This record gives sequence, structure tokens and C-alpha cells, in this order.
Amino acid sequence: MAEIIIENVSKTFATADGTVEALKNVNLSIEKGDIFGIIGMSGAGKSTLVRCINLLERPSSGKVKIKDRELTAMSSKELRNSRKKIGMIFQQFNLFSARTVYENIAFPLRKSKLTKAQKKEKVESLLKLVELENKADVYPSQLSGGQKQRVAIARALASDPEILLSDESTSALDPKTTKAILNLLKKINKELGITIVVITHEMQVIKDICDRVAVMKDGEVVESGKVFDIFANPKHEVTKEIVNNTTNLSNIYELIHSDNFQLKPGQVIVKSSYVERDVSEALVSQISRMYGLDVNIIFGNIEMIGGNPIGGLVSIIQGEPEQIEQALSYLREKKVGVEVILDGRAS
Amino acid sequence: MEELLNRWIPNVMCRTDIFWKSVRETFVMVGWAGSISFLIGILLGVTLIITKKDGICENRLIYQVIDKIINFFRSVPFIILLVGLVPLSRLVMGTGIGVKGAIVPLIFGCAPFFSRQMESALSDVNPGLIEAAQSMGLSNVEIIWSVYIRESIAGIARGTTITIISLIGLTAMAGAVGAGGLGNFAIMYGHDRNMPDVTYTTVVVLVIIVTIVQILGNTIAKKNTH
Repeated sequence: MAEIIIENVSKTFATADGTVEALKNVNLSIEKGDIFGIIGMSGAGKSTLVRCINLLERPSSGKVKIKDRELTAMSSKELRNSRKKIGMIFQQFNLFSARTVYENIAFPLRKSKLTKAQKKEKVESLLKLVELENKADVYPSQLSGGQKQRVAIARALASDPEILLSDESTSALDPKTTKAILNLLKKINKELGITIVVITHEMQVIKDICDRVAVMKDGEVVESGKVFDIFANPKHEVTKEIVNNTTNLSNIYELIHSDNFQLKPGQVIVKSSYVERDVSEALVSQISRMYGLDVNIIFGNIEMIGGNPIGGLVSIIQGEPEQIEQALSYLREKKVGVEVILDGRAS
Repeated sequence: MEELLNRWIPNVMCRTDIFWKSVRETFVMVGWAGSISFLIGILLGVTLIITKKDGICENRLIYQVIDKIINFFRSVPFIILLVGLVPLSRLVMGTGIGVKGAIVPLIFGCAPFFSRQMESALSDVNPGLIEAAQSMGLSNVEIIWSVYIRESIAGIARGTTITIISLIGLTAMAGAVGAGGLGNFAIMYGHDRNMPDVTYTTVVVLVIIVTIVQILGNTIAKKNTH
């Protein structure tokens, strides 16, 4: 049973220049315990979509269900109670500036049935989880961005949520702090079993922590599935663009279009990428031996996504034209994506 | 000391009872009109903030009505309010003159200004905090208390300081039409009977009161700024 189901959700906003369709008939289902990423360029509708999960934005049409309970059909009181089980963190942290770190984290507990001692214990354990034990009595303005986000995470966890929504939570942070926050989210997901929905425009975030991903463009989900599958085999233009922007492999096009690059007759530039998850075979030396080719690797980029390699090599292959052709079919047989970028055989 | 005062402000020293009574009356007027205006100001300020566009209880009609009423009373000169509200004052307080009679016009003169000060203080609250509070399942009433008001204590203190000080000015004006207080004291003796030392003393006392209010306001604001 899916934890979050988004069914035919559309959202239109009335603006001065007419209506804007922020979401168009979006369908998603997010499994319990997953870290689910939603990626897209700015204006793609990601933030609106995540706000439809806890109904901070009410969909114009469609249903949102959490654990089979339809949020879109609830009374406002029921909805408020359901929201307590859906934590949320933001790009700008949104901590209460007039309250200390301790008071911020204790805030969602002020109406709970816990005794004072239990609340204290709870806040202290959360402070420990986010590694800010010594900052309890400090005000948010005295914290760094990463520390503020840690407090926000602790506050979001105080009401024991089953779901955590993260709206660009690392976009205001430097790369090192981003890594640390992502690791913290991963730890929360593993240790507490909380389903996390991550909104981001950064591929790196998806690669680092997500199990599944949905790619959005113009209010629509254009692709969704396992992170490795989506990024090893991007189908939609937007996905390809995002992948190319992050794996530096696209730099090769810049290189071959520069003036001082010359391909000798008979040479072929080939981009080979991993489509399957097996990288155990020594394919480069195999084709070199089998077909008597010289393979000169000029560019390479391999990244790990969900524990699997993604990326590939760009190489100049020199040899008999027929042998090259055979070598390429051999690679294709071995489930390597092969793309001839520049062919010097014809000239 | 007493000798010195007798020499400098003889006309005040020979009627210290009236002088202290005037000081007390000023405090009574500022106290009553100020506290009632404060409550009205918070109420209207909060209502404006929550009913404005994209507020938590957006309501164009209520916003527009309150907005216009505030503008109306802020544009009527206080001296006209003093006279114009005498019938209402008689109805509510039983009298249109004296300290009691001044309180109603003082509230009408002060509360609209207070409301704007409150609106401005509350609008400084980062909308992201409201969104965060909503995501935590807070009701609108809880958001008003625990987020809007709690987060803007410093701004409310500053706005209150400004308003109370302008209210002290208004009470002096009310004195001119028989409301009592330091304004009345200064007009009756300092001006009408040509005793400049009475006027000077009144000014000095008002400066001291204003300074104390300002220091108090600044301290509260500072304590609540983090």
C-alpha cells in the first residue's frame, strides 16, 4: 500500500494576467519508507506539488490520500490533525526567531499529552539526533544555515511524523553543508523509517539520497521511476538536459567543436555509457585485443547512483573501418550504450 | 532645594496640590485611553493582517471596511473629534467634559493610529513562519497568538511607544477644552494668567514622562529582539 497517493491533481492560480496552470493532472504514488525526489527547473510546479501533499495549497481538482485517508475530503480540524503527522522543512528554514532552539523544537509539543519531563527528554533526544546538544538555549539568528536547517529538521520530527516533506531544504546551503544535511535526512529515513519527499532542482541531491524520482516540467510529471533507471536511460528532453548538465560528459561536445580539435581520417569518436549495472568486464581492452584497435580514452565520468555506476567514456578509436563496426556491435551486445559522436571514416 | 524652587517656579510651588492633581489626571487619561486603544489596536491590526490579500482568513470586505474606517478617523483633526464626540461621550461616560469626558475622543484619536502601528509590526512577520505553522497543524487562532503576536513583540513595543507618546500630546490638547491634566494646568495658569513658569514646568514634566516611556519601550523592544 502506497503511503502517499496523488490522483489526477491539477492546480490553477488566478493571476492578473489570467489563470496559470501550475499542476496538470499529476499522478504519483509514493511508497512507505522511500526517499522520493521531485526534480525540475524552477517554475516546473514542484513546490506547488509538495504543498498539495499537506494541502498548504488545495488542489483545484483531484485527490490526495495519505495511508488511504483522503486529505482533500477532510474537515479543517481533521486536516490539522493529519498535518501533525506530516513534517515539513523549507529552503529558508522558517524558524521562530523569538524562540530559542529548544523552544523551537518543543513548539509542536506544546499541546501534546506528554509530561514536562517527557517533553524535555524528547527535545533533548532530537537535539542529539541533529548534533546540536550545546545550542539548546541559543536563538536562531546566532546559528549558521546548516545549523538552522538541523533545528528545522528536529522541529519537524518532534510530532513523530510518518512523512517528511523537504522543499529545497539544501538550496540555500554550501556543498559541504548540503552533504551533511542530506546524510542527516538519509539517517532519519533509515533509523526512523520516515517517508521523505524531497523537492529539488539539483541532480546531486537526487543522486545522493533518493530511491525514486519524478521529473517535472510545466506542471506535469514527465517521467518517474527508480533513480538509476531514469538517469541511465533518460527518455524525456528535460531529463536528458538535467543528466547532461550534471555528468560532465556533455563537455565533450564543447571540446570537439573547438577549433584546435582535429580528427584524423579513419578515427571515430565514440561515447559509451553504462546502461546496465555490471561493470565487471574489461571491455576496453577486450575490443582492443579482439579487433586490433587502438582505443584512446579522452574523457570519462562515472558517478554512483543508488550504489550503481552511471556515466561513461568518450574515446577515439582507430583501426580498420570494418573492425570498428564489429567492435561497436560487440559493445552493444554487452549492453553498453554506444553513440558515435564524430566519424572520420567517411572522409 | 525648596527655596530654589520657590524662587524659580513660584506659581507652581504655591499650588502644588493642583499641579500633582494635573499630573495624576494626565496619567489617568493616558492609562485608560492608552490601554483601551491598545486592545482595539491589536484587534484591528490582527484583523487587517489576517483578512488582507493572501492572509490566513482573507476577506476583502472586512479588510476594506476596517481600512476605510481607520483612514477616516485618522484624517479628522483631533480638535474636531473632541467637540464632535461630546454626544457620544455623554452617552457612554455620562459626561462630555473633564477627564472622564476626554477618554472617548482620546480613544477615537489614538486607536486608529495604534491599529496602523500594530498592522505594521505584524506585517514584519516572515510569511514563511505562517506557512511553517500551518504545516504543523496550527489553527488560525493559534497562529495569531503563537506566531504573529509572539514573533512581533519587539515591533509591538516600538509601535506602542510611539503611540503612547503621541497620546500624551493629545491629552495636553484635550486639556485645552477642559479635560484636565497637565495641558489644562498650563493653559489655565501659564497662558490665561500669564505665569510662564507654570508653562515651563509643565513642558519639563512632559519631557520627563516622554523620556521614561521611550526608554521603557526601547528596553522591551531590545529584550525581545534576537
